Amino acid sequence: MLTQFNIPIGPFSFSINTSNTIVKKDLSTLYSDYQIEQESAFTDFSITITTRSFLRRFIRPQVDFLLDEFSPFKPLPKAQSFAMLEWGMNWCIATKAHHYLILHAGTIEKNGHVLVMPAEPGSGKSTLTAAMVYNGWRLFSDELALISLKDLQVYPCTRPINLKNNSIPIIKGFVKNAVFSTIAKDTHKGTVALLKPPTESVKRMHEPAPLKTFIFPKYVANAKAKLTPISQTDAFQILIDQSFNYHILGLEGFNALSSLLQNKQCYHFEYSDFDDAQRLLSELVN
Amino acid sequence: MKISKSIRLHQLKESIALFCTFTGDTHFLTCPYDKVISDLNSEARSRSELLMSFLNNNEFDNVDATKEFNQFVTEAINSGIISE
Repeated sequence: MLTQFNIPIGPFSFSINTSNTIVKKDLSTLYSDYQIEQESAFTDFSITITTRSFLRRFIRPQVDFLLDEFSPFKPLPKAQSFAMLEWGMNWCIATKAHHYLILHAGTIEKNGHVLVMPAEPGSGKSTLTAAMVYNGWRLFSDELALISLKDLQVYPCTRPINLKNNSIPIIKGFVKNAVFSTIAKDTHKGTVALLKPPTESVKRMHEPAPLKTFIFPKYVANAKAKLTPISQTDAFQILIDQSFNYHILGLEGFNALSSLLQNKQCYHFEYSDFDDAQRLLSELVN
Repeated sequence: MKISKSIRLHQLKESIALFCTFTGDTHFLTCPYDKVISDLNSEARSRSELLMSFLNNNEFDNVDATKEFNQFVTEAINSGIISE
């Protein structure tokens, strides 16, 4: 039976239509703290997770992701349904929400200050974000930093945290009573599971906050947590590389990044131990 | 010579960031070339005035500095940052 989930997520409203049992179960579990409605007056993104091919419902089952009537991706195995939905939701925001400068970054807040942590895939950004938000920080996003072009504030896009491979048992060990989605194996990113966001972060997902600084994190085995200052020029270049829409925004993007970097000291951040990392990052916002 | 109309500048701590509204390209100029751009941004200058300022602000050998300056100006003109 087709079920509709209308979910407000930060500044966006998603409508998700599906009869897929995995998606329904994971949405009900991971989004249980959200104000899910049966009907919504306004929807930014209308998504359907379905199987278009009749044969693919039974033989090596697959699912399709549709935004309105448009299918931007190739079908994936049914076991990856929920991961596909979350990746698709990222794609919706990154390709449409150009009233924000969007950076590929973990984003956390404490004491009214936001740390934006842009990084390449595989650098431990989501793992660090997951550990911090279950250790006193507020989750804005593990993937997308939304910086408003109007007021340069950072806006939360609080959603489940996407963890891969070894990060899954690490966070299971670090976060007591962590709630995970169905685990998807053999995806193009390896094994993937999504971690339920903290309830307090979901409650406050409509509260933006100003940026404190940019941190470029990297997990280094056995390293002591260390912040190394980097030049604004290097930071600017990395931010351009890690932006989804700098090239689309043009001068607006340049002005936004220039203003954000004004009087900011940015850092490379090496870490291996979460408590150690937590202490050092907290010093930046105390 | 002057900064092209399509160029927007932002002073960073260690460099100048330039954005070309025509091409969408972002450039970063560090010392000593950021000073050339700063000078041009405040007012239009002749090539010889710019060169004089460049030589006075740097401790290179004058022959090498002149060569570097000319190379920089040529590249800046080709990139559309400076117009004559």
